[in-house]
Amino acid sequence: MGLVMIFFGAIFFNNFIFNRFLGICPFLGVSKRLDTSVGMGIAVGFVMTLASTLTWLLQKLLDLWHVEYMQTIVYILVIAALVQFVEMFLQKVSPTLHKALGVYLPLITTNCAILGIAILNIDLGYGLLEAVIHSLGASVGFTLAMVILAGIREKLELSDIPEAFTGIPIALITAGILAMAFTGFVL
Amino acid sequence: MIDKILEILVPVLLLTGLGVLFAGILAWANVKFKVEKDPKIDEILAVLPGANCGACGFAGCAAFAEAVASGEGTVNGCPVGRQKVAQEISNIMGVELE
Repeated sequence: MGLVMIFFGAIFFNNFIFNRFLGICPFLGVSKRLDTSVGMGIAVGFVMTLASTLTWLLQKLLDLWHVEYMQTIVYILVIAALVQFVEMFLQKVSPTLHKALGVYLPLITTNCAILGIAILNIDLGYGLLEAVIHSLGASVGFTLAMVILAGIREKLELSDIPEAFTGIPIALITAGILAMAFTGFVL
Repeated sequence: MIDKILEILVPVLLLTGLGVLFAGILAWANVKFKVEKDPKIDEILAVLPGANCGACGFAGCAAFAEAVASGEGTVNGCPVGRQKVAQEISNIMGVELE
């Protein structure tokens, strides 16, 4: 029961983009097209899940040696290495997706959602399984938010909007209204 | 005294160890997931200033090198490198610099 609550809680009640406001940069940057937004969601989800597993294990080591203050720098190192790995992997497996994601792929390194979830897992006192479920939920929530916004933005491309609002401004307004909708999920 | 030394040594060794570990994994991945690229891209990248300033209009030096190698970009497109770099790039590409 607890794990189910953590999973769905991370998707809806504590959605990383709409409720915690983490990971906004790729959310706006790569949400122009539906297929790239799905690719970005999966890439972020992969890094998130692996990073939170690794950082949870490393935290035990940090606790053991009483160097908890090293948390941030060690986590960033793990995340940076993982992102580099994902980039090499994507370049080999799907060059088109690699090109479509462009600069936003290496930018996952500095995506606060990833560092955020790694630190949140520790702060909330989660065990390893809970941490993995939490990050899986968070990545589903992230992908969901990306897909919703990308779907709306694709429709916006074809609609008649005032010139001053085209592009990013209307996307920001849309994101704001979406975030309001997500606050409707209350336990 | 030994505590004080350990206090410094443990974090240093921990970060070094992790760094070496990840470097090893990435080096392995680099070989495993190697993508065949135009060798000119690396050659051009080597002569560029490497500041990734974006003044050429591309996302960075790597993107510029790729564009030049594929014929999209011009050999004198790097405003930072000026004449010298433009000359070297045109030598690599085998074209005359106008």
